[in-house]
Amino acid sequence: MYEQEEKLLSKMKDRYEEIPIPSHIDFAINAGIQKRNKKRKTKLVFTMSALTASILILIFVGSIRVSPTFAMYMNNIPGLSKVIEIINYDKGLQSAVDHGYIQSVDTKDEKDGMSFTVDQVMKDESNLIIFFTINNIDRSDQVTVRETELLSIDGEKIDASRIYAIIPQSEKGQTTLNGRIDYKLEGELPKEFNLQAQVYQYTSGPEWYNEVSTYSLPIYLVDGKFEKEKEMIQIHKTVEIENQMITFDELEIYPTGSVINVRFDPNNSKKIFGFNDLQILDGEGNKWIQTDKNSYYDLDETNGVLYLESSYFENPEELFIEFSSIRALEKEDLDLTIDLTNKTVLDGPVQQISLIEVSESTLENSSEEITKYHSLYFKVENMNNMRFSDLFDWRFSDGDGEEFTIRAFGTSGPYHKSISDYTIMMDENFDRYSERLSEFHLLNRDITDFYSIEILKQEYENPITFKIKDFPTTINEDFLIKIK
Amino acid sequence: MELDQLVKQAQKQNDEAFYELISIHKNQLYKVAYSYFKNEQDALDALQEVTYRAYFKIKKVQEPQYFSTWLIRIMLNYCTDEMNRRNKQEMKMIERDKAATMDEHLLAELEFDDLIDSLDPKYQQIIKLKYVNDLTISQISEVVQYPEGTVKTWLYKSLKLIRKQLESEGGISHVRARREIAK
Repeated sequence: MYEQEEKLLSKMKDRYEEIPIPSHIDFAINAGIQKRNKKRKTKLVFTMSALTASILILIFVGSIRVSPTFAMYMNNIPGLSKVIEIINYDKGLQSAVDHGYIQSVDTKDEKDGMSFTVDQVMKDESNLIIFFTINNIDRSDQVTVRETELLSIDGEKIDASRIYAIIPQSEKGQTTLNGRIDYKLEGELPKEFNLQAQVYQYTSGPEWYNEVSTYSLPIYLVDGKFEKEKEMIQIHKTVEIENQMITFDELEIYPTGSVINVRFDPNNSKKIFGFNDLQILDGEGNKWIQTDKNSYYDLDETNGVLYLESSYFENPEELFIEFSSIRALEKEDLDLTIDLTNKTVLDGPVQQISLIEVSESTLENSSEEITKYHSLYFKVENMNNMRFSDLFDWRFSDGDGEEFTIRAFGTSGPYHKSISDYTIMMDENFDRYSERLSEFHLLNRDITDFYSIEILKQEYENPITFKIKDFPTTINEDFLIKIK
Repeated sequence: MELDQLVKQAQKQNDEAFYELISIHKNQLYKVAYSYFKNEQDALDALQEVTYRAYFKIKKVQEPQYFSTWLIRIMLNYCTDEMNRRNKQEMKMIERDKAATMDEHLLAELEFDDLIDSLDPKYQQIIKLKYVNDLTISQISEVVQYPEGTVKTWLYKSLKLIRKQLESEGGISHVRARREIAK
């Protein structure tokens, strides 16, 4: 019936029969075996093939009342000194240290050949910052810190959430790792408490797999060390930007960081996602920037907070808020509706986002179970500015209103002269995840940026709707607001 | 040594045994990779990576008689993922080996290859397993882990799609043109 096609195919087969097998094919096999043997010492795996010269910096952004979201941030930084520089980059924290607002702890826990030390802590009414060092890392391992928890001496969980942390991953051959963990305190922190920290070890490989050691570190806070009270500045000023009303209510300045409480008028036609370049100035050339990658956190529909470096110890006479760019989108465009059958965007910010492709992908886990996904590839205008951010709420709904969960998102495009495919995977409870940063290539090409999400392959009632949570459309206008 | 003994040895991290196992399959693996990447370097890279992945996971092979299909599956997954990734980034990084592209007589055949490469990945897999690796329907079914009936349906659908492409006016040049643009 398909004689002609079969004939062409069998010709193709003949051609492949004739393909010369290169004589050095055995080198490739050997190299593969050697690669495996190098990893054998450690049982764990992490897809990070050409990443040896890079350091992963994890930024955990746990918003205050919402389930924790997180972003992972990549930086091409050679060497450790640079990492320390980043850890200490916060101008307000440096100033606090200069004023002796830091306590040495030097408590250590040893396990699985490594040791975890809490070197110093800083604390105020709002924040707890813990500086740590991991020593004796096996030269063939790469380690990083994942889950951490604060426990009272009775073993009860202390009401605090991890808000921001720069936790580098060690490079191969590196035996020491320094980092910092930040907590927002929801209540009183006892003088004595425990930090529990899980340290993950990785090695390269095709899968997500790793070994975990949990360290327990008793911390004792010295009396009278951290008793400075916050400074409250009442602002209550409203600005208008393209008919959107933004009210700055207060600036709370703590020794280790500042918080601005912001309110958006419920009648605004646009949803404001964040400020791209907001900072505080003192009129004498000093400025304090947002510590959290220009993020804004919703507390509810109209209220939110911004985190900034602290000007506490400088205590300037005058203070200004300055910004010139915000990310915003018409509220009526916040629902992105996709026709899965025809692979088109039906509703949403159709000028800025288009659906390039819907394809099927499979994921094989360590027990060889295969999960099938739909991968949706979007092209988003100006996505460059938002690498590694999630655009959509993890929950989405189909035409029947039934709720489902996005299982992964990824970005792909040029970054620091290389290309990265970056994926975050989540399970239904949001509490276990893995990140995959695959293949880095040196790049000499123009590559369009993509944003992709993966949803389980199953029957959905068409169309499906995603809720936009952040988006790179910006409004630009210069503002300088005197607040003190 | 028998295949299943080699597998058992390799599972105990015996390098020689595993080397032997890959050697037995190297031509087959290389051809699958070549049918995707069309050049020696990428095909060798694929073989190296698949060797590594297979050695890493060999303990998961419970039935040694399925080792061959398991190994080919790893290669297929690698190739499909890699092609996907490249396509996603709008870079058809396929660089044919010079010798092949220079030959005018091969042009029509290359266009036919392009047509195959433009098929849905699952059809491509089936076609390549059958016509590059000369596997039987039941072997293909083992590799892709779908029932034989499904494999047959896909094979039939692939042929139908190929015909449709061939028949559509300028079908082949259309595919070629698209690749040129993608470059």
